[in-house]
Amino acid sequence: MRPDDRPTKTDRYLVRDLADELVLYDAESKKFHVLNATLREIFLHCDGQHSVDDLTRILVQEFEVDESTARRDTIEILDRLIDLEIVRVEQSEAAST
Amino acid sequence: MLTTYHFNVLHIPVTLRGPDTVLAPIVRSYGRFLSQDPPPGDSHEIRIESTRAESFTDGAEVVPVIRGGNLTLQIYERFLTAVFDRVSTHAVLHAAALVDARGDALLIAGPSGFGKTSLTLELLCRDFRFLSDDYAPIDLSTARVEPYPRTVGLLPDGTVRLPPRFIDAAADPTHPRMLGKVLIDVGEVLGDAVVADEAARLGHVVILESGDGAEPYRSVVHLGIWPRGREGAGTLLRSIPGAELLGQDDRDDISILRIRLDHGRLPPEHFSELLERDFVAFSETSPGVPADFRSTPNLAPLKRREAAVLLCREVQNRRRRGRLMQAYEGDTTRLFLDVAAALASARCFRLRVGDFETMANHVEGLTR
Repeated sequence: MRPDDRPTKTDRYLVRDLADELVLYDAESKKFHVLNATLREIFLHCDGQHSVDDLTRILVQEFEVDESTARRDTIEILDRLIDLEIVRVEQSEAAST
Repeated sequence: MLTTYHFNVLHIPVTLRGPDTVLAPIVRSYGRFLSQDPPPGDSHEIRIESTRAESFTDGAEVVPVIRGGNLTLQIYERFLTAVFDRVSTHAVLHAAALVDARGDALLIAGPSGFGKTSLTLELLCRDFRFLSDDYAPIDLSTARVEPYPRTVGLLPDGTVRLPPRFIDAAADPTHPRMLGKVLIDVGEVLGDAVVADEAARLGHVVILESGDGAEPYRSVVHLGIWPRGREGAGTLLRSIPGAELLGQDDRDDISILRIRLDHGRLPPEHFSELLERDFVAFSETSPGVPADFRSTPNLAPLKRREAAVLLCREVQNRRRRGRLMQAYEGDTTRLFLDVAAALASARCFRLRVGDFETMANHVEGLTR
């Protein structure tokens, strides 16, 4: 994952924000996932506007962690959310060439 | 003499026509929803010609009267079904609802016998206002809790802890009764100012639990069966793995079956099917272990998701044929998600039951 990648939410899940957690439900498979406070914060900012760098800075500010920890956590979280098809990252032209 | 009553309950128009002696307890409970004129739109009409009638009409259906069965209960069951089957915007929760001094709604949920009503009455003596006792309709799109019947049903036998003014009222033989409980209008006892007439935004949810580690809602179901269903219910129960009949008690011409459920062996849909049979008058769940009101209460935060799971187990209008479930295309998980989302601005707690004064202190402290 590149620092300037800008993840976006997929429309696969029904999303309900409970403020302390966020719940996603896939009506087709009848499975749902619960995102804790950290994952929720990342997910809510996956809007195609915020880059991986931006998301890292948000974690630093919101959860008072150092930048290297926040970057590692951000990438791990995004990888997990991408695996579950909760968010996706469009490959930019620069990345694909 | 026959009287016609028009009700508008959660925007569902229902008309009852029949002898006052039969309808009085229903009119008493749902009096706040009465209207002088027929409500706009098609009103669902339930009509009985006399106390000795052999049938009554429920919409277009002619329903035989259960001989020897309490006629008021038979009409009340149809009345509730008429409302619950038609409500699509509200989940009707098995909970008490109050309004705190800041104007926010407080839900008190928990198994039967865990003191919802007693705690509610205690809080009404402390600056809270009354929305409802047993049913709490919540608008899932606005998270607002609606007022419901302004009566409480109290057992007159002294087994339930009550504030002194309600002890006197429960002993008054002029109050109507249903299912052995005396129906008391809280406004008549404490004054109309204590009754909230407007919906309030949900602020707090308190789930009552026992202190013995028993999982709430899971262990024992009390199933009210009309006489016509006694045999059918028994046969069906024997076919359900994980359901064990513990005993039977006859009250007001309804048989109340006590059933222990082993949820490890019992697929939930099997029991749901039983609950939707027309011979089932009502169901109540309890942990099977009586609450200990002598212990020390303990209040602890609860995640909204966990609170929603507990509340969703007792959504009264979750029947498959109802409009609420039609709106969700029968998918109870989607209903759960919307109940959970309605809690997004609420603070949720579990309260281990104990002495009522301390319980009330805890709840009062939350809302200051």
